[in-house]
Amino acid sequence: MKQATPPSLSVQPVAVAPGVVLHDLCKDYGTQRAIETLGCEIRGGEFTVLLGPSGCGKSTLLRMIAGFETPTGGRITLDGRDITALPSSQRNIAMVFQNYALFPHLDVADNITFGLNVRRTPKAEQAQRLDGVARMMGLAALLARKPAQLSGGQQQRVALARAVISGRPVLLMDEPLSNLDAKLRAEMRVEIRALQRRLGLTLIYVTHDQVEAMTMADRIILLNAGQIEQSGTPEEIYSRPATPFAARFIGSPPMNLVDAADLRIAAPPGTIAGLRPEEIEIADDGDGLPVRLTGHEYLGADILVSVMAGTAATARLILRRPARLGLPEGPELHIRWAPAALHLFDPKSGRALTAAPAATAPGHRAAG
Amino acid sequence: MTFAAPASAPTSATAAAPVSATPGVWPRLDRVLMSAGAWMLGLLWIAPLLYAAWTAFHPSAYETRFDLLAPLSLENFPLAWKQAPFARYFLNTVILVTSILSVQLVVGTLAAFAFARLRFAGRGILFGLVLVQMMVMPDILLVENYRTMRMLGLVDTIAAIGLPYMASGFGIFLLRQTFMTIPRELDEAARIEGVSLLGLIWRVYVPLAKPTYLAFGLVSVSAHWNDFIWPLIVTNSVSSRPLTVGLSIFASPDSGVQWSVINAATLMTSAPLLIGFLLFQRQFVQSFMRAGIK
Ligand SMILES: Nc1ncnc2c1ncn2[C@@H]1O[C@H](COP(=O)(O)OP(=O)(O)OP(=O)(O)O)[C@@H](O)[C@H]1O
Ligand SMILES: [Mg+2]
Repeated sequence: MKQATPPSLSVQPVAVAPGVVLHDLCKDYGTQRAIETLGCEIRGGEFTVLLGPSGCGKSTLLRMIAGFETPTGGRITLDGRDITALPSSQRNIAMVFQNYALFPHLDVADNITFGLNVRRTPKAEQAQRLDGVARMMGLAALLARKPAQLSGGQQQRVALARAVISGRPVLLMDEPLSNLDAKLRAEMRVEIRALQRRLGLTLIYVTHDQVEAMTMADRIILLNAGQIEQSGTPEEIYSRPATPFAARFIGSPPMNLVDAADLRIAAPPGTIAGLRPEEIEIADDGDGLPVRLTGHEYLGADILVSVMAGTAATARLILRRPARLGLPEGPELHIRWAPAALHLFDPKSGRALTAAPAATAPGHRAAG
Repeated sequence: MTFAAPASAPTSATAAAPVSATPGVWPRLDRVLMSAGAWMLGLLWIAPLLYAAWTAFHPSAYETRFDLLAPLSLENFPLAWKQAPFARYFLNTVILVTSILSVQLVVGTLAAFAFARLRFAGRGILFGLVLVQMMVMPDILLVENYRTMRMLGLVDTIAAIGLPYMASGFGIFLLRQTFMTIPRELDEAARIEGVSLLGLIWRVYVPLAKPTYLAFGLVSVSAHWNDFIWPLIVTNSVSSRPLTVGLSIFASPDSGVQWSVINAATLMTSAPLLIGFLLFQRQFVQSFMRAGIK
């Protein structure tokens, strides 16, 4: 086989992929509200991840964009055009389903060209586009097989091929990798990301896996109980979580959230203080917040150290440090952190307090 | 032979034996009884057929005399074929069975899809009525159906035999159950590509329900091939009579035809179904398993 020339792309990159805007969208199932009134903009040509725990309404939101669910209220626009009432086939979107939704009675080639067939694309053009997509997705040798004769990863690829052959600029995916094993998932993450870049697609991707979201997304929309908890780039959400929920949901292990008083931080009572495990360090000079060592977990490169802080030693903190530094000598330790690493959340609203209070706490490292 | 079982049976021997010894014996006895029962039923079922085959292939002198060395003969078949318009009866039955089945499939598919996947007012009540149809014995409706056919001026036509069965509640029910097991995602994946409703049924639902269609087809064809009372009532001429009715007239005691010829005719008329079933036995059994009909 000739590998020298890259396969000619019969699926052309989309010039400028349209964006999707949700205006005051909400959805009720009977009396139960699945999506609270929300609005957001999904930019054209970007990889947007809808992230959230199970049952938070990610699929519902995606299915409303796809046209499989009718919103209870609000509008959806694509490229400025109101598509709320359009049937899904006229929305100019493609979708990859969680269980791939391949037609079991059709072979791979017929599965991929199903849509072209339905729309009566000339056979010659179908064959040419199929050839291009099949080579791009590495499916050329499998075209005559039935879906049942494919591995999970191959099925996933066929589903992707079926979605991109349409040339539609907006692609929706609902947990497309959840049925794959860890290694394949990591490979497909890279592949999907590359595909989105190459074709310039507007990709809306649903997942509950924060690693997928962090590694793939241009922008994450974090959902919780039918509401947008925070949206922004992965870096923004990681470094400036807007709520304790966002702080806990992103990052592994999650951010330590304890009562500010337990860290001896002067703040209104009930204020929640947050520290990422990697931002906490052990103060060998005995300066800083006294804590008690309670356990550790070895991860290879790193080691996770559990400590208890606070007057009654009830505030559990996990800190991450390179494994080569070894386990600190316990059980009595001191910890500290950079002032900028501290996140404080308002006791009433639950939102992040923008400016950290003056560095009065003993844990603060002398800056500069 | 069933009487011999207790005498030689280990039951009395094991009665005094410790309980732990019984599990080995009971299942074996159980299996023996089961297979004996199955054989008896099978023999009982096939006996008339064997008798028919025996007489049909032997000269009429051997009708009631069993002799392994009796000369084989095929002459009963042409005799039967000549004595009644069986060719016409065959044609009538084939037309009847295929028209019933094809209308049943079209009506059943559309109705089943509507019940399985569309939302419309009165869906529950309508589906209830379909189920009720399955509970009503067709024989109760003979008189009423006859009156309807009279009103339509269809008495003594093939259409009259088939019409009452063309919307099959059983077919609708079976297909609906099958359609409901088809994942919604497949439906949506097809819709997003822009298929029409009929296209969706044709491209997705029908191919995926193939085993059900096969199973239902077999049930329908054999039921209407063999149906007797209703066609007997509603037809009275050669041009509309199906095989069953034609055969019964041919075989009526006062016609004075020999048993061997009658049995040859019987074999002839049931042969297509028997051969068909034997040929496609594998597929049928598989379809029944997959369609959930046992
Ligand atoms: N067809 C439906 N009828 C009634 N309630 C529904 C329906 N679909 C979803 N819901 C409810 O709406 C809420 C959101 O469901 P949704 O499927 O969008 O969650 P999700 O975020 O996709 O979860 P998961 O990660 O488990 O897929 C849930 O509480 C669910 O029970
Ligand atoms: Mg979901």
